Amino acid sequence: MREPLLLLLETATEVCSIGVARGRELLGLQESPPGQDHAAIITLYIEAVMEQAGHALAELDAIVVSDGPGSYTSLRIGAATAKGICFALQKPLLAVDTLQSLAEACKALAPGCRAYCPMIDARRMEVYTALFDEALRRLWDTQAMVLRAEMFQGVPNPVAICGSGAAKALPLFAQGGVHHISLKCSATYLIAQALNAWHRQDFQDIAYYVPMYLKPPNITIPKPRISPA
Amino acid sequence: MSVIILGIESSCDDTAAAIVQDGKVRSNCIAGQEVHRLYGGVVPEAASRAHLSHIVPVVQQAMEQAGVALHQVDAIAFTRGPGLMGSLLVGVSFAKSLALSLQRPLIEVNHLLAHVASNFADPPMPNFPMLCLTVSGGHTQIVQVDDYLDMRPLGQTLDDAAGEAFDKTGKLLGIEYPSGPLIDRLAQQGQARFAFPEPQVPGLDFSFSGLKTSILHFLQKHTAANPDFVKQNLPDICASVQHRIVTILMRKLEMAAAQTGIREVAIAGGVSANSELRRQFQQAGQRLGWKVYIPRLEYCTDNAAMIALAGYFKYLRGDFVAHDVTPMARWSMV
Ligand SMILES: Nc1ncnc2c1ncn2[C@@H]1O[C@H](COP(=O)(O)OP(=O)(O)OP(=O)(O)O)[C@@H](O)[C@H]1O
Repeated sequence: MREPLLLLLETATEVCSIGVARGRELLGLQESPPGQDHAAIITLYIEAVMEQAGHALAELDAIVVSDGPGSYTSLRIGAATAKGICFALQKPLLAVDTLQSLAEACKALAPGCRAYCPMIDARRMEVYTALFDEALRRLWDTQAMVLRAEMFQGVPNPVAICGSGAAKALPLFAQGGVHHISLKCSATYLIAQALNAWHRQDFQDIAYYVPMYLKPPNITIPKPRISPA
Repeated sequence: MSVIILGIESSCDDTAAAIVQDGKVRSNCIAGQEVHRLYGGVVPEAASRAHLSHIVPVVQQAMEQAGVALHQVDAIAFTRGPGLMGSLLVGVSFAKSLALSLQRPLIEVNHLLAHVASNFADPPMPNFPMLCLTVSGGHTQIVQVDDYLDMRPLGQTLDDAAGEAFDKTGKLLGIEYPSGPLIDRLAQQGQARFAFPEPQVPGLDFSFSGLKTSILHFLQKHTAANPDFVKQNLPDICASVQHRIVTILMRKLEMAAAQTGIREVAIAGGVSANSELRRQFQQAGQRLGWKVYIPRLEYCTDNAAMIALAGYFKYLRGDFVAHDVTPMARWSMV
């Protein structure tokens, strides 16, 4: 059977990374420098990678999004864009765990580590993170965590940290045993999990798919200023 | 040859889609968001999340009701602004990827221009130049309309919108959000016997923030003397506030008509559903010899039919945008 042709949308962080792959083979890639407005470039990048790949959108087998966690707004830009293509061309939608994709990429660069901890920048000293062992089995669930020097207590080292939240974490781990692997989210890293999902036929509902937000929206309920009737 | 426009609107809390064929509305679908009632206003992050879940079903419904298939659509019109950035982004991103996938042109639409365009949905068509009072939850302005797409504001609110004045009053009275419709209903059983001061604003601009403060002081004063004041006088309070808001609006609209000599006059936006505004508007029309236009209710509150209509006129002009277009949270119509 022919390997699937996949459009890959990675918009969890400030990098807008768009790729197209036939099976494991990357056929086209466009990545923005940080700080670019995803909404301004995403469809232009899609057009560009399809041209690099020499395929029309209609030939795609599935659209793949990075599921998060990450920036709510940029995840939604990716998801809304993916839904438009899926809806217009009747294509299935696949969602890939962003942290796991980073952990896999990290292990490929630093294969000897005992644990892998991808981190995506959240506000202040918080990151979205999860921990994986040397075989990339999940040790911690995906969560929002405030960085602490002791967070890796009891975790076998060396631990590799990576992702957009890792740079601000590094100063906490001066005692050693923690390596920083410089790595940004990329559409390339979505391929392995996307193929798994494709073969499992693990498709998302195009109408109701939402990215992994992790937290409910922040709401403060205003108090009425006079006693209500 | 027939022209079919798909319109998409996501500027605030409603996700909407509509089909306009040759200037006629074929479908007009909307998914509202009940969540915000609980919080007495629109929660931006909650609104953005809901748009993402509503957009596909709403567009699908608009296509089905119109009996139109996607490949028949000639162009995709979307609200670029003004509105909530996170909300707009969902509609804009979806519209762009639809346009790319279907290889159709994209048309950006200003939400305020579209409110005015809701007057072009049904005959009779207004003659130009026309004046339009646009009153909604987010905006209040008087616009001179020289052509379908050619318009400029003559005056606007310097602070709160008229709908906001209704909603904030409702909050003070413990009426659920959005409060405009209920204030309207309660007012019908009351007398406008409490006087609130008229703001002194030069020219054709509006101000509603002083009114809000005087209502607050009025309620504080009376509830201090009688804790049940609001409960005992709710219909009269509503009638009084509504009367004041509507007379503020009408005085400026009459002034604009007198200054410009224009006698084709329209209203648009969610607050144009208000029965007192409609009554005073019709009366002023008779008294001053205006030809008046009021869009159907479903085209007054946020909707996508008005986006698709404005998109239709832009299509005829070949007024398309490139794919690097991004939403504009603030965007004056000129
Ligand atoms: N019968 C009524 N009387 C007074 N106000 C009303 C009535 N019906 C609706 N409104 C008000 O209209 C507003 C909603 O209108 P609309 O849907 O046009 O506005 P919006 O989405 O808040 O703003 P915008 O169109 O500027 O983005 C609310 O403020 C609501 O209270």
